[in-house]
Formats: sequence, C-alpha cells, structure tokens
Amino acid sequence: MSTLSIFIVTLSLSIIGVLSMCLVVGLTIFDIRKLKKLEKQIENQSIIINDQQYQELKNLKKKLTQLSNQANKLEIEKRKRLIYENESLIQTVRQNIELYLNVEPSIKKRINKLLRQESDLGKIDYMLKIFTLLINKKIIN
Amino acid sequence: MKPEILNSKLWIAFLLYSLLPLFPFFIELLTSLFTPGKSVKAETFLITTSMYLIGKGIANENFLFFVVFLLIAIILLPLYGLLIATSTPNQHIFMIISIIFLTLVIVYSFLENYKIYVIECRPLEIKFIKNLISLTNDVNQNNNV
Repeated sequence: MSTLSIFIVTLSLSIIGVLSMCLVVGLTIFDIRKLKKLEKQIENQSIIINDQQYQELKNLKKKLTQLSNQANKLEIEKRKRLIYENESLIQTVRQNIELYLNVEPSIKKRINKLLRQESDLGKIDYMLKIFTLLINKKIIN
Repeated sequence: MKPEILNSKLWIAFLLYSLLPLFPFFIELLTSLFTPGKSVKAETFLITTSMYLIGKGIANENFLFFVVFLLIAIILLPLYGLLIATSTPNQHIFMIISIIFLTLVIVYSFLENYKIYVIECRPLEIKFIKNLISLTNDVNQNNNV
C-alpha cells in the first residue's frame, strides 16, 4: 500500500471522525436543551394549594436548604451519614414533587432519574432546584 | 439573579478537567508564537489531540461517546506514525484535522461540564483542594494549642 493510499484512507476516516464528533456535540446540545425545556415547563406550571399546604411546602424547602448548606460543607463520608439521617425529609420532598408535578410522562421519568442520582449532594441540590421552581408559581386557594 | 453561565463550579471544572491537560501544549504554542522561525509541528497537534480524546473517552459516562472518542483517537494515532515515518508534504491538512478535533472536543467538554454542574447540580469533588484545606486547619489548630 503506497503512502498516498494510506493518506487518502486516513483522511477519509478523519472526515468520518469529524462528523461523529459533530454528532456527539449535537447530542449533548440536544440533551441540554431537553433539560432546560424541562425546567421551563416546571417553571410555567402553576399549582393550586391551600394555605396550610403552602406553609408545609415552605417549611420543607427551608429544611432542604439547610440540609444542602450543611452537606456542602462536609466531607464525603460525613455528608453521606448526614443525608442518610435525613432520608425521611428527602423522601417527603420527592413525594411532594411527584404529587404536584404535572408534566409529560417522559419528562417525569427523567426528573425521577435525576432525583435518584448516585451523587447524594447532587440529588439534594437538584431536588431543591426543582422544588423551588415548582412552588414558585403557586396559587393559594 | 446571577446568570447560570457564571457558575464557579462550571469554570473550575472546565479549567481543571478540560484546559489543564492541554497545559504543555499551550506552553509550546506560546513559545512558538514568540520565537521567530519556530512553529508547533503537526505531530504535536496529532498526539495531543489523540491523548486528549483517549482521556475524555475513558472518563466519559456515556458508552457511545466513549466508543466515538476512542475510534477517533485510533484514527489519529496512525496519522501520527505516518507523519513521523514519512516526510508527507501535506502536513497542514493533518494540523487542520487536529485543530478541528481539538476544538470540537473542548466545546463538547464545556457543554458536558455545563450539563453536569449547572443543570444536574452535581457536586465538584476536588479531593486535593479539600485535603489542603483540612491540612491547613490542622496546622492552625496545632499552633493554637
């Protein structure tokens, strides 16, 4: 095989490589846009609640914010223990999100996946973000 | 409200995980810019891009991306060998290919960091910085005693 033919083969392979790389970047942009759309949908969704429910949600948000702030300062092992000790609070927030979230099933599935992500701190911070977006546009009945 | 793009976690991660591995390459690039008659060789571009792609591929969570990155690195490495073994006249083409790949991979890396640290709110665990902080605290405590 001459140098020229090797050159042509590698050049054509490189073009395929560039196209695949563009595909990778495109897929990542698509995924980001999907996640942003999801946040927008939650932001635009209004929930109808009574005063007592609103106070409960506000308390939950306060507790979750405190937990997130506390967990952010700790090392991994201590943080894991803290999160394990507060598992009931995390469960309650998750249940509330699932209860009030009124979006497409595919989007709901994606949110649930992120709310159960391996990284404990990420899970809490993401939960806090979604929860804040959710109760931001409440209608008190 | 602070725009999401100004998130400190995003920029620290981008600097440490995406730009720091390219530090030797940037140094060579800077040196060549200020030294007359010296330029970065196409081989350097090729080997840097392939190694960077292998690193990014191995660290990736997505299997499809891992395969794509590894395949591209496998394509680029023979090109490096070809350039070293023979004196191919069209070195600029290889250089352009490498620059395209490198740019795309840096763009991808930024987007991935944005997704992980801004949208999914995952924590940025930099162990050595945390260890350094705890070590300083220990020294301060000992001094106080």
